[in-house]
Amino acid sequence: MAHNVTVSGVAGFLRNGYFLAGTLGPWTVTRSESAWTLTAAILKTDAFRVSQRPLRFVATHAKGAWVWPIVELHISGASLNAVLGPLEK
Amino acid sequence: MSRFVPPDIKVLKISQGDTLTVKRRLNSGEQRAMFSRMTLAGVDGEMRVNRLQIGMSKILAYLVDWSLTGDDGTLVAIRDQPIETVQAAIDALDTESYAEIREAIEKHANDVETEREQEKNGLAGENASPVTSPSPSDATGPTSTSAS
Repeated sequence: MAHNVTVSGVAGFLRNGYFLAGTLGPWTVTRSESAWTLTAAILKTDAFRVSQRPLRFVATHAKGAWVWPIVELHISGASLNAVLGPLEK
Repeated sequence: MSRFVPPDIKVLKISQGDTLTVKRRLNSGEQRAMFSRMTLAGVDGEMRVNRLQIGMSKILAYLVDWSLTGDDGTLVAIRDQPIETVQAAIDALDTESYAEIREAIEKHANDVETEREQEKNGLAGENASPVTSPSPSDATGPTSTSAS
C-alpha cells in the first residue's frame, strides 16, 4: 500500500549549478505514488537562471540539505509548482 | 557545442583535509568582474592592473564554497554570501593558507585554460573547411582546356 508523504519548510532555493536561480518562501513537497511535486512561494528569481537546466530545488535542514532535481517547472505570479525527480540527497 | 558556459563545479583538495569548491570555468561576466576587481584608475585616468589584487580577484572569481572551519569547529560560510563577506573571510586567513588557496585556484585556472585551448584546437580541426566552396572543376577535373 503506497503512502503519500508531505514535507514542508519555510525557505528553499532554486539552483542552476552554483548559481542561485531563486529564493523561495514557504514550500511543500508531496510524494504520491507517481511523483514528487513541489509548491512554493517565490520571493525572488533570476529570470535567466530559472530558464536554464539543470535546475534543482534545495531545502536546508538542521543536518544539511535535501536536493531534488526539477523535471517540470510552472511559475504563476508569486507561486511555483514543479514536478521533481527522485531525491538526490 | 553551446556558447554558454555550464555552471559546473570542481572540488579541489588542499592540506589538512580541507576542500575548495570552485567554478570549473568562468563565463564572460565572471571574467569581466574578475578583471574589474584587479584594475584601478591611475591619476591620468588610465586603467592599470593592481598586482596586489590579482590573486584575490582570481580567488573571488572562482571560489564557490570551502570546508574551512573556525576555532569553534563550525564552517565559515561563504557560499552565496556577498563578495565583501567572502573577501573578509579570505583576508582573515593566515598568509600560508591564503597562498595555498591562491596557488590551488591559479593551477586550476591554468589547467582549464590549457584544456580549453586543446578543445578549441580540436574543434578547429574537426570543422576545418575551405574559405571558399570548391568549384566544380576541383571535384571533377577541368571541363575544358585551352591551348594558346
